[in-house]
Amino acid sequence: MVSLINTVDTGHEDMIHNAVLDYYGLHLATCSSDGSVKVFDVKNGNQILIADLKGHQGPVWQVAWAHPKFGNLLASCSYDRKVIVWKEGAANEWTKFYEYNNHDSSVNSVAFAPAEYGLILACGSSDGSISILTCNIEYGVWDSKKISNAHTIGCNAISWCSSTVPEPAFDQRSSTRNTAVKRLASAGCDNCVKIWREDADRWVEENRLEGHSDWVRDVAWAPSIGLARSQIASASQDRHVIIWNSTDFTTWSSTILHTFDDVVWSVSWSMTGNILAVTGGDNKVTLWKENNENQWMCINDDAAATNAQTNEQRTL
Amino acid sequence: MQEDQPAIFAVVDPLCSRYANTLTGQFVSGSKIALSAFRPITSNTRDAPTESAGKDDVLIHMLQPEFVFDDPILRSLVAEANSTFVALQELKKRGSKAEYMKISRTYRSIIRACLEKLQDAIASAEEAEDADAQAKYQQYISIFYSIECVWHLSEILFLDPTPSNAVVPQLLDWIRFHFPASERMATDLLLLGREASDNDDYWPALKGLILQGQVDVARALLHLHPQAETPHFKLTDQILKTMPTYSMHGATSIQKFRSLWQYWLTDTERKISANILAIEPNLEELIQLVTGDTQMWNTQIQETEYWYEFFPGYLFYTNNACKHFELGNAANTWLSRWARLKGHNSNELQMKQLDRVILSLMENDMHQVIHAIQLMADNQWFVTHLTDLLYNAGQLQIAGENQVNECIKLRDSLLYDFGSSLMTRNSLWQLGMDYLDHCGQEGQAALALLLTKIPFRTEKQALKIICIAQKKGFFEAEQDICKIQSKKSLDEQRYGNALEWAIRSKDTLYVTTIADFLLNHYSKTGDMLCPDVIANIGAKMFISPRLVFLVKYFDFYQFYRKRDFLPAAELLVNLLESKITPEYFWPSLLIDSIPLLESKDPKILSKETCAILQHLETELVPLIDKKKKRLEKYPDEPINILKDYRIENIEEIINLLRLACARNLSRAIIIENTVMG
Repeated sequence: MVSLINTVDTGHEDMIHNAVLDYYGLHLATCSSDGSVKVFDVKNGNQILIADLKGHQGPVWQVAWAHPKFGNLLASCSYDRKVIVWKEGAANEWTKFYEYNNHDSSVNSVAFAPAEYGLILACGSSDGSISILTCNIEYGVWDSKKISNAHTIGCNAISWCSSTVPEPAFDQRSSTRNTAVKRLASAGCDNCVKIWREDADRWVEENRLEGHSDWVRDVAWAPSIGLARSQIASASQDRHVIIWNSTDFTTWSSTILHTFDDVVWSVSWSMTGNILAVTGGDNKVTLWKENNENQWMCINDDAAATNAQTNEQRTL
Repeated sequence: MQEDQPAIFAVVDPLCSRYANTLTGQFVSGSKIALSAFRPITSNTRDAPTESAGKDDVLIHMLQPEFVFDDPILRSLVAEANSTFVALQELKKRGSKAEYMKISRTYRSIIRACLEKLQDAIASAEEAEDADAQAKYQQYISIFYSIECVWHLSEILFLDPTPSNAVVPQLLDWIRFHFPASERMATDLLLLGREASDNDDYWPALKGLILQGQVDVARALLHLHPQAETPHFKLTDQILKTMPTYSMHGATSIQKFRSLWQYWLTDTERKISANILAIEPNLEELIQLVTGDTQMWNTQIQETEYWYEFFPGYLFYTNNACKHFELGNAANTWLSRWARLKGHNSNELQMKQLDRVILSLMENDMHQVIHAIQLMADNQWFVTHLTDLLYNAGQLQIAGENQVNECIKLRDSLLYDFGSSLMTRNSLWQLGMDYLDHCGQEGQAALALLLTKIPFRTEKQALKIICIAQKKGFFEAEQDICKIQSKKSLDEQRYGNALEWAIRSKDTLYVTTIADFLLNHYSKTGDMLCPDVIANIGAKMFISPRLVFLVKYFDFYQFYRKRDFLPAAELLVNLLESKITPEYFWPSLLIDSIPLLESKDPKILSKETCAILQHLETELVPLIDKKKKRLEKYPDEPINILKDYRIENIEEIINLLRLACARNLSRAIIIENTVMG
């Protein structure tokens, strides 16, 4: 049912940590331990390197694309404590648009807010804090806010709540979305997932989701497509993936998706939010789908690195 | 068809398995998954290159669910089925049985046409000796053949119930359609006329016809035999002719039918046991089949490949009035008999998926059917369309013995998945829209989201998408696309385009930004970008005060260039008074007034001249002071906003202006007083 469409040889000199396609799925951005960020043109299954961005002095953990209405912008965060926003001016000419230096430790995660809110970037760092960087597009000036001590020991991942709140049909043309409350979820080394809400000009902790018994490695807010509920998936070193559900942002119910054989490192949702991909230390990527009875089913063991060496490794 | 087990997909990437690395996968866009080697970072990870640095290739593997509709033949199937789907939705669940039957048949004829095209494709692949294509089309044929077969049976059982609920005649139609060999032989033989009986196919064809319950055709064939007038043939014909049949319309009561049948059966069996036909073994065999002779049927069963091949025929002779609800039991009994005779132990009977789906259908187990057909490798095309048809015809609710809500959910989620999967494929997105359009609020939301994700290269494509967004009332999607287009044009330095798209997006801030850019550019270079666009903005300028200023200033600029100084002067004075002049544009605007002020015959009256002077003193001079102060405070900050291409030194501008005002004032006062006097 699944086929390999192409293999991209990134040419990075060391392990990559993140690979993301842009809004239209035409450009692939990758980042690596070799300190570079690369951009590939991946139209029609070909891959052409169009930019090799060097600006970090350490492994680059994550990259994120902004909505194309802000132009071609790419954010990257690194072990060197920096967050860099790159901008494509003329075709294939990338320059540093903004650099943020206000973290005291490695920056692990970057995520652009839903475009309706404007050009906003959230960053989570090992120093335990989360920064929210807002760009005034008119003047190209950035403003930053910081949530200090969001997670003790460190923040591992950030995910925004999508702004698409279901609206009554008669209200189609209003701009209520622009005034919608901004929320984001973060995952930390304090075994918690936390939900943050913007309140006037501050960010407050709205909820603390406790259910994991080890570091939470990843968190992913499901794209809410026409649903009046919010759903978050979190992955932890305690071998659990938990699905959190809420209809009012005050009470969250949790369901353990599955207890895996090994640590779970990451979770990600498909674009329409109907499938969840889970990556674990068991060398497998599994796909999960919620059926009409609200039960989670593994739809396939999608990928497993199977070759002789793997087997040897796995049997150790 | 696929077997019912999770599919495992493997990629070869040495880096994934070296040095205790593992694999990671993430959704990247639509249904694409990017896989790559992964090494977790923990608190004791050292900040140093890994052991593999520079040695192994660092790869990313892009995975995507297989999508069969990229093939042109199957693409046309999707396109044709889509219009039928839309027609079905237009019935709004209030159609008649005949209408639903028509829809179902249309779907089936689309599949049939597709199968024929696939056959042709195989033939041309054979000619071209393209083994890959051949295998591919062969696989498609087996998928769509199964679909056709199951669809046909579903249609019989769920959409076209007879008044008496009897199913046998329709089952015979079904089996005849899918095992047409005997009928084909019979047609050829009938054309041969009297010579037919010499043909080797004669007796096999007759037997085949009888096994499929085609008694009338069999009789016609018998009449062609040279000995048709002999007593044996006449007797056989008589037996077949008098065989009672149960009317589909329930004209005879079931009790009456049963007694008629019993009478006829006893009579026929008596004749056989009297060895009346022993002399003609071929004829005897036929009659034994007709009487449902166990031994005879068992022999035939062993020749079959599919369990259901002779099942309808057997039912025809042994349970002619079989009703839909009895079918499941009958099928199971038959299946175990078939399995036993074929030498399968029923516990380990390995049925193919199609075999099982057919059984489930006969058992009326819709849950199982829907579950099973989801596993067909057709990207859910079949399950989506069949479920939707049954739902619309009101049959899913009955067939599944389910709550109505559950049915709606099931059907909606199938439509949602199918529609989204089409929409994330470049060329089929328009078809996908129709499915999302009919599955509730979620579908609408997904539609709004996916619509903006369609990559467009040309303006024409963008306009098409916008047009759809407008029709659907997706205001935000429309705005987003306009903004993206505007940003793109701006980056490509197509300013007029950028401005037009920004105006379309109705985003004041965005329009202001671009108008600012154009004004700034003018004041620095004296070059007005995209004059054609600005000249044609018209009433749309009111979206942003900055744009109003730009348009009005442009009008002034036009008059001035045409040496139409009087209206130019009037406009300039109006602009100065307008209070919408952006700060950075004051020098340019005031400099523009110098030539008019210096004109030998005054263009500007004394009152207006005073006003200009006042603006100079109250707007520009304080502005310059402010800038100067700021410069003292932050000497490094570049202050370039108060510049005009004509004069570098701002102090000089002020002096020139003051002088020009004074001179014009004197001239104007003289003339005004003279005229008045």
